[in-house]
Amino acid sequence: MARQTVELQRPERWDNPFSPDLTPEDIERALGIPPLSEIDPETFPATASLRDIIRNDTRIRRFEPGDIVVREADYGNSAFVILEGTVRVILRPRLPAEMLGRKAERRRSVWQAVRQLWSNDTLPEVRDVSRYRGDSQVRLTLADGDEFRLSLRDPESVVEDHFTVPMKEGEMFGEIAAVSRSPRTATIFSETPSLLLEIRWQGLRDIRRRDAKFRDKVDQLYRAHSLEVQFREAPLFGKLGPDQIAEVSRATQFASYGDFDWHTTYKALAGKQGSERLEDEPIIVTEDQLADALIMVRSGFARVSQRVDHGHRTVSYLGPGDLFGLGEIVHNWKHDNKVTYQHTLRATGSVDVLRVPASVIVEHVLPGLPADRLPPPITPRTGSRSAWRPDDIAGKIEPGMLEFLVDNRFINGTASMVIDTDRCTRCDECVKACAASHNNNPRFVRHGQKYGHFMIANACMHCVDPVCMIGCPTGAIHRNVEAGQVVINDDTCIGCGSCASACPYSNIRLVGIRDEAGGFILDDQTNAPLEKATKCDLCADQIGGPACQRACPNDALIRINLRDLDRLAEWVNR
Amino acid sequence: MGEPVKSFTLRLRRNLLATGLLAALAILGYAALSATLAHENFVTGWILASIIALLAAYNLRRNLPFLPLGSSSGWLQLHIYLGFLGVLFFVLHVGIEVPTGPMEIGLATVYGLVAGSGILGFIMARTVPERLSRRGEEVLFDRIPKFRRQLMDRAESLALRAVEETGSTTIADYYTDRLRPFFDGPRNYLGHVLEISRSRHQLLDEMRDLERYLNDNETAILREIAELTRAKDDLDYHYALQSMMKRWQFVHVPLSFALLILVLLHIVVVYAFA
Repeated sequence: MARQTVELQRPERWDNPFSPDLTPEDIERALGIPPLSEIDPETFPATASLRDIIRNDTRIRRFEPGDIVVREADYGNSAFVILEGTVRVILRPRLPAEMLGRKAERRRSVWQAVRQLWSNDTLPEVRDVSRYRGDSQVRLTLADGDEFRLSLRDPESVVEDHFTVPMKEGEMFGEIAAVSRSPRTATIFSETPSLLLEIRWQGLRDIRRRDAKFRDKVDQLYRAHSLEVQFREAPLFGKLGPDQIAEVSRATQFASYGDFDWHTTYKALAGKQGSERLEDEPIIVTEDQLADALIMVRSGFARVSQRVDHGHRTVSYLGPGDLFGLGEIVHNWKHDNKVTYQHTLRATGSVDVLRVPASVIVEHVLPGLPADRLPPPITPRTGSRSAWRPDDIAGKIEPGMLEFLVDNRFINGTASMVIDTDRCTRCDECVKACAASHNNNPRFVRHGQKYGHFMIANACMHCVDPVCMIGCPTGAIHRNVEAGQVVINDDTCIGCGSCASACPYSNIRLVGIRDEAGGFILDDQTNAPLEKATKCDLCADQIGGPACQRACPNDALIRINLRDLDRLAEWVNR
Repeated sequence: MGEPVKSFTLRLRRNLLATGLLAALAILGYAALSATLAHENFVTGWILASIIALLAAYNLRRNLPFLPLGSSSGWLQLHIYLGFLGVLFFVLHVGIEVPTGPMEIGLATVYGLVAGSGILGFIMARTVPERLSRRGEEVLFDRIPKFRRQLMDRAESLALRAVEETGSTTIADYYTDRLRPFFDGPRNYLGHVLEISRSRHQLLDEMRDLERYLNDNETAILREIAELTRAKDDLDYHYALQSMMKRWQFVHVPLSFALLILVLLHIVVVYAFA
């Protein structure tokens, strides 16, 4: 029987404009204000003109005095151009967590910890309602449309007590965090009533690609504010003087690969074979390419693979700060027989890399590097590799496990819950301990994808690239600045579910909440039950650390940074 | 999270060595005490009571997961090796004679049951997880009834489809007589615990034998049912082993409490009448 086909128009780039309410007057106004007025519209193709980008990738947002526009350490995916009014950048000291609507993580005292024995509620998801009505240091307000917004209660005193810098009409901010998917470096609030043009990252990317002046400006800002610091902090460049750092920084090129919104298509990968997944991953360099640059991963993840027979075997993966190609550059510096890259590097998800030319490394870095810091010599390979060569297996982790971790992007996790099902007696002590530490509510499910006898359980992995944070309207989900866990502030979570739907690993759950009498708390306007997003917080407020790991009697469970392959290998082979 | 990873082999060697040394020390000490004609039973009795108290304290640790009382795995290691030392002190305390009197008999029996169930639990904890890992899908115990129901519904609808599509009742009859009771609840508990899969093979063999009388459509349906049968059998396997592990706790823990009470009574009686 012939299958009936359904014909649909292919979804287009601008099927979902950032704001449907933008008027032609708004667009004209935006185009008349720097930096957009300084962009040459002629460099854009007719199919994606600058005007189209403004029409589809921007929106106008009005802020009242005290409204927080961006918060330090948040992951943003847009930049802002000031159309009207003044905003203030808080430089130092940093605002306390409570003033930013975040959870102030305080460890319980021993007494408070012991009290949990009898004070935990018997019903699930009970909340102290008075907390939501409390005198918080920030206000949660409903702005135009359905948008929730955090506002400082006393912006004047913030200006008095902090070193702040004003920004006025025609200035832009937030572009570095948006294009490099890095955390915002400062909190910015509206000082006067202000009108801001928000440009989402897709628009920024297109403008940056087309307009050299804009690109240079963004790159220059990045070089000045972030790149030199990044080099100074990297062990390889740590010994260089300021002039050399500046030289290396000037020669460095930026490149982005992969899909910024990789989390939206992640679940569709589930049915794909390993080789199909590889085809979807953009190549950064191949192993036949001359090793002409040192690659440094700035954000995201990259798969390191090697050709074996007619396929590719994953041998490692790189994350932010990791280097690729140093061995080859050192080899070519010392030997006449030049080698190409020994591995292929691919973007797994969205990756930003820095390319430092090999000549710059040879001139500035290698001469000052002690011999013991140089990578081991390379033996150029000849002929094809067999796919079945146990002695060829990199490290002590099965290649299949590496493929599993990279294919499923579990390498994103800094505190993934890995369970050895060959040791796990399914006693659920981990789940009970988690519940006991969270008012009788377990914050993970002892279930998940498996490779052999290793399971990555459905517990928040506290990702390096926490896509769950992008889109949280109140910033309730945030990374703890001190300890690095990704946590949710229950007081400011509005239960919209954006984090739960963004989490590629399905590790965030929305739950209906109850008052202390056990009744569901209802929205006073719609009468619908109020929901809150919940997930593992790595027992941030408990004195003993993650209860799940400590509660496992059989050493079957570990919270582990999956970027730390050595530790993973040690645990797997324990 | 950043604690060093323990090697199981090294840990085993270290713990065995420590236990062996302590056991040797205990035997030598007991011999020395006996030679001095001291009341060695008071010494061994109090050491044994302390060991039992420490062993019972593990349950306290389990119920206080939010306190930094050390890892549960560390406690379990202590529990296991101290448990073995406890057996040694029990033998030193009681001797190799059969206890007399209801109190002593009761105490020795409960102690034997606690120690025996402990050893059984240790063996199960080291063997059952691998068996579960190797067979079927990983499944949460609480969700097993739901999955069982889903499998039964699918098998039942296939049996009905066979009648509708072929007009033949062979598969439906077979389903009613042999498979419905199989899908209806957990089956072959003991067989799964003892790793005997006769029942599974019997059903699959029966289905294979039926195939020669079926047309292509019926064969395809029966093979789908056979797949569901395998899945159900795997689910029963997980149910049997997981429930065995859970039930074990309901034996060992209450017996341990009973032992604690008897030990207390024993101490009171000894001091009252010694």
